[in-house]
Amino acid sequence: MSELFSAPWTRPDRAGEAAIEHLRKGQAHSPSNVFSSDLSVDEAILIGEAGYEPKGLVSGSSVFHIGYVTSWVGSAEVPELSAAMARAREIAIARLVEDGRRIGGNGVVGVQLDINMLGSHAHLAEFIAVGTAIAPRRSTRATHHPTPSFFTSNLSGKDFYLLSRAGYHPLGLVMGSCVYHVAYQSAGSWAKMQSKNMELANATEALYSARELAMTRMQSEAIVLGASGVVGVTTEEKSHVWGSHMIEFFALGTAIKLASSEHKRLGITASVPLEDQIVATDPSAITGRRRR
Amino acid sequence: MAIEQGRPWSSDLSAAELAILRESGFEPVGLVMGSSVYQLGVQSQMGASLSSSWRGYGPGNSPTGGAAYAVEYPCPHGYFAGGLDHYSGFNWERTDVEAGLTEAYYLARSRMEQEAKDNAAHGVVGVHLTLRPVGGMWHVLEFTMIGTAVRREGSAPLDAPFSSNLSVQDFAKLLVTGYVPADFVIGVGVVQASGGCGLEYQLRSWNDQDITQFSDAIQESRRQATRHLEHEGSRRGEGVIGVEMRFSSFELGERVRYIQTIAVGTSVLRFAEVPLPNPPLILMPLVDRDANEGLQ
Repeated sequence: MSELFSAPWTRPDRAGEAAIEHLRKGQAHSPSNVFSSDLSVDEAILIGEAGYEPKGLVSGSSVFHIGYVTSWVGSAEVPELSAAMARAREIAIARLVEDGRRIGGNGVVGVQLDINMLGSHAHLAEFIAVGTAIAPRRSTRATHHPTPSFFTSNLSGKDFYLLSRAGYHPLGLVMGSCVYHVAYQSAGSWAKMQSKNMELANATEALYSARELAMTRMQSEAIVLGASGVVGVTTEEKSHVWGSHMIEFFALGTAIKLASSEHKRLGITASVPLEDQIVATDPSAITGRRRR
Repeated sequence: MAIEQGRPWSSDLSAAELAILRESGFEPVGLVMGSSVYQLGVQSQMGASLSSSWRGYGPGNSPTGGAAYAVEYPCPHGYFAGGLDHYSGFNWERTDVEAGLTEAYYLARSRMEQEAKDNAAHGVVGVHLTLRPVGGMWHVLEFTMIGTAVRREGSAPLDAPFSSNLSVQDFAKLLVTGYVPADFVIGVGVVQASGGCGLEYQLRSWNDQDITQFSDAIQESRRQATRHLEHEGSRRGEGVIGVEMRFSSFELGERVRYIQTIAVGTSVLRFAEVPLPNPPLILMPLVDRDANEGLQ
């Protein structure tokens, strides 16, 4: 038996035999010990290689009322809305963390943040955070760097493994939001400018300010966490429910810290994959044009 | 449909998948399918009277055996004594809808598995699930599953073949790391939220704030879906991976929301403790510039 079990890497065809025999026994498990996870098989293997195991799929939601603004004058940030957008995401993430702790997790990887608008309530938005809670494996071969406290991260299983192998651990999601109002032009100046080539300076400036404020807020969150840096930053510019004169600039990333004394070299090997991009049944293959 | 011995098999496998399947000691048997068109018996309960009749069919029992989720949100102003403008809100789990959706899913899956069994297959890989409303009615649904049945030469047939939505590559990776896919499982969480006066006041407020009752309903719908998925996975597995969630929410009436989460994934069973022989090699592929990566 043990010879068979140690064989799968050298004889993948022998693994099937053991697998089918195991299925035949049809062993039931206690539902409370069964995990669920949105990790792919590759991610699950790499998470295991980093010394962790999935504990369960976790989520946090906040249905938030956004949109009422007391006043806006010219091109400026709308602080009430910036605060509301940030608060709603914080609540969703806090509930995700609560869910993760409840099932014995040590952190959450692959966190996806989304906003869904709820039907006829134009200003009712659902902020949702979903990810897989993980914890150090009980019998682990190599624990690279146990994370000190509960973390959240938008990194994939592959990213988590690579960072852990290079000597880093994630500290937490960091984000910055800025809702900005771009001033309307007066009808007179609009009419005057229609025939000219010109930069819309106030719109450009508004974008700059919004970006600057959002990125600064994200950065100060990283400083508070004591991070070495922020990776996997994504930025988003959206008007949500407000119309084209209001935008939210949103920056999201994972703060990481170098756990060992220095970055560990990964020993990267260059490779040339023998994968064709041409698919025989694709009509563009006949014309010689390359397919994506 | 029984597939004649000696006739060529059909499959939706790619050439690479076929190569990996044969390398793992399995062979394709044929495409198998299972389908069910199902009506959820809930239409009569969709009226406006619903908001106050939750006790009528009550919290009931969850499909997993435990008590279903049900919470009352009393009037926060303390006037709830039959006053016209003050009333409680309720969140409750629609166990009837959950049971219906789950049954329809398993009808389709069992038909697909029966086809696989009829052809002496050990399991089905790469199952695609189609779930769509029929005739524009949200409560009539078609569940269809299609996948490639596979067999391992020399192993006795299984009473219950395995099924999985994973690709053959993933199937092979599981096998060599000591896991086998068990079942393609579903978890459904449906919560109905009927707002009380507390919610009504929150919605009219000028403050941007968290609408607790709706947040709770959505959170609970996802939590129940995950819990049911894990329960289904426990029949023959120790974990469910590759979970995909589908979320929908709509209004049934004023202040009444219907919130549904459907989660599917493959339960897996460990048959051996097999660590990777070496740390994975870190590769940097040198590839051509993608022709499509220009200005868009």
